Amino acid sequence: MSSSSAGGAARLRLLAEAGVLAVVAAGVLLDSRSYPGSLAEGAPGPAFFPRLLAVLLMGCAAWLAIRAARQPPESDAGRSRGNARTGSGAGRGARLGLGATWIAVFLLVWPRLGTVASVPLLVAGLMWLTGERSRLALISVPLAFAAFIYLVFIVALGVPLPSGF
Amino acid sequence: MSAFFDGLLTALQPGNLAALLAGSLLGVFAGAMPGLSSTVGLALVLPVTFALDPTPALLMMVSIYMAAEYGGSITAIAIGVPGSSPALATTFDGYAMTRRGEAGRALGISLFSSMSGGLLGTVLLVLALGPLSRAAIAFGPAEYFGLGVFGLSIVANLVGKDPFKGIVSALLGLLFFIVGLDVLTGAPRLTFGTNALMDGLGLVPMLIGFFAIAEALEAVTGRRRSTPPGDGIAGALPKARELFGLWRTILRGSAIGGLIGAIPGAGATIASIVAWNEERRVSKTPERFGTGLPAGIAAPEAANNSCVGAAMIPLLALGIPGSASAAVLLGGLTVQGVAPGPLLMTERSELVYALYAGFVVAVLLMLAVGRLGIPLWTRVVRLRPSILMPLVVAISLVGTFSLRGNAADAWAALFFGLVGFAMLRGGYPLAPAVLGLILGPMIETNYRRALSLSSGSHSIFLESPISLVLILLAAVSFAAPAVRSRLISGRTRAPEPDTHDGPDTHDGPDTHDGPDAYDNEPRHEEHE
Repeated sequence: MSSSSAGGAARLRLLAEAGVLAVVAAGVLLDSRSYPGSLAEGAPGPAFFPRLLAVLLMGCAAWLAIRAARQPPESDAGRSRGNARTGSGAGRGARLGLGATWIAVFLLVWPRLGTVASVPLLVAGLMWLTGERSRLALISVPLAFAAFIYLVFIVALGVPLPSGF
Repeated sequence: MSAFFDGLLTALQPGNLAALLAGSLLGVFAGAMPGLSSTVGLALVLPVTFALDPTPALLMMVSIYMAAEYGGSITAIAIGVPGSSPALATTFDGYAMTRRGEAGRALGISLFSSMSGGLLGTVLLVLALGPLSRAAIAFGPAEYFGLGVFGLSIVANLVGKDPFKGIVSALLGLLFFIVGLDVLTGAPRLTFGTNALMDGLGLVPMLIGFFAIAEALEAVTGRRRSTPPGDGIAGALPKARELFGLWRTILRGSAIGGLIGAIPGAGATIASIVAWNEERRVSKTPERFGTGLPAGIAAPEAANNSCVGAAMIPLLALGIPGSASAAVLLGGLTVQGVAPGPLLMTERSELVYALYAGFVVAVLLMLAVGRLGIPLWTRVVRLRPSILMPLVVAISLVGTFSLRGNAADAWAALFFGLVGFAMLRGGYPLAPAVLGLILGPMIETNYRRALSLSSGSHSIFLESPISLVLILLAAVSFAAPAVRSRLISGRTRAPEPDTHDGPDTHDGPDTHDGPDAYDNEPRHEEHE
């Protein structure tokens, strides 16, 4: 990646961060219209603090945008080296998506399958995604861990974890 | 004194000793499991205590409370995930020591400091029950607001080399606390009509998301965590000389924990963060905090265990619980027919003295249980990351669910995991956001209450000497790092331009050292 394109990427990243902050702040401002800004006797209402924070976040977004405009083109060269070292961004993004999706799937099926059945699936999937390839480990660790959760949380402590159908 | 020895004899009776030992084991476990905490441990054991006499029931509960405060540091040190929120500050230096292969040393320092803090907190409880109770009730909304602002000023020491990103992080943390019903009016804020958000996002899901799930996602994206180097476990334990060399730090931490713990609602989390920050402030090398300094573990651990005894002061003297755990304890006392308050000392003095002695025995049992557990925990940190991280995620999600039996908490943990991952990628430190979520309710609620009392006049914050001093201290604390860095940069040559401040090189401000641990190459250790 050339210096100028690396600088462009850094500028884009700062602008994206500014955009996220601005959207969050705007959302807070919009939502805060539904509750009172002040109460009787001069006391601030529930909208006061969210609006204050939204204004501050807007200021931060503006400052990030200014930083993006001032971003020198060569300042992100080191970052591009870092990318080269750790692999492609697309590949990492795909693995991140898979990891987050796997956890979300676990949270969805947990109440239906129950803790003892779903926890081994979560553990085995994450082990696979983090690079574990030993079949013995992929089978024994999740099962042993499910037994631990069952004995300690459900039997010994009586925690009402989802039991499934 | 003879009354104390009578209490000691009571606490050492076989049944009471068994209750204390069971409490220590359960407390260390509850504290060490991310998602569980002393409060959850106490709540879980509460039904069991119904079947016990008041003395063993109370002793079991104080033992859980005490041991859980130490237990929280175990996972904070071993895997960088605070087992409970008071162990957050311990993560800063504790996990850095683990990455250097000094997990046993860090755990030993934590255990010794917790024990010392617990004992000093007990001494404080015995000596200051009366006077501190009166001081604690002098705290009104203006004073609590001052305390919250003072706590938030610590952000200035957590922001690293890009203060702007630290401030953004703190603002996001403050924003997260707003989600849910407004405490004063009941108005739903940022809930978007969703019932699941009415209870708010919660601190535990945030801690789990930021410190466990974000780290697991880092592992999934291919950044390998190198197994910490380690020598023999016995050799890794701290030497007695090193432990006793920390006495000033432990005294300071215990004093801070004792003072803050006695204030109802302030809690061990704030105490431990303030203690860590004060230790950093008085240090001759503040820039080394966060890179694995023993004092960075000793101060917060002494503070959070000292808080346990101190939290009992308003509980026993006034019937006001100083923390959520103390509130559960209050419930246990009430069920046993014990009414805390000014008459407790006269009507149930034998129980109070047994409690004093029980604290001492509980601390010693915590030391024994903790010491025996250190070899186990130092083995845990040497597990392969591809095994350790999935187990951390799973136990964190189960623990988060256990907190309130609410699946929404587990979803919130996933949300915070993704937010934390994105913030780390962008070089935004996580600790200020956590601090914002912890202190937000104290700041906002008491600001509005104070203005309500003063009919909108801000002079209420200046008329109270406590509030004024706290606000001034906050101003000093906030400005000090900037002034110090300006003085230092004035004395030294300007450094060469840093070309490595992108997120991928991980030397941005990062209290949570997690992702950096996945880099096999050495990096400049820094702390915000």
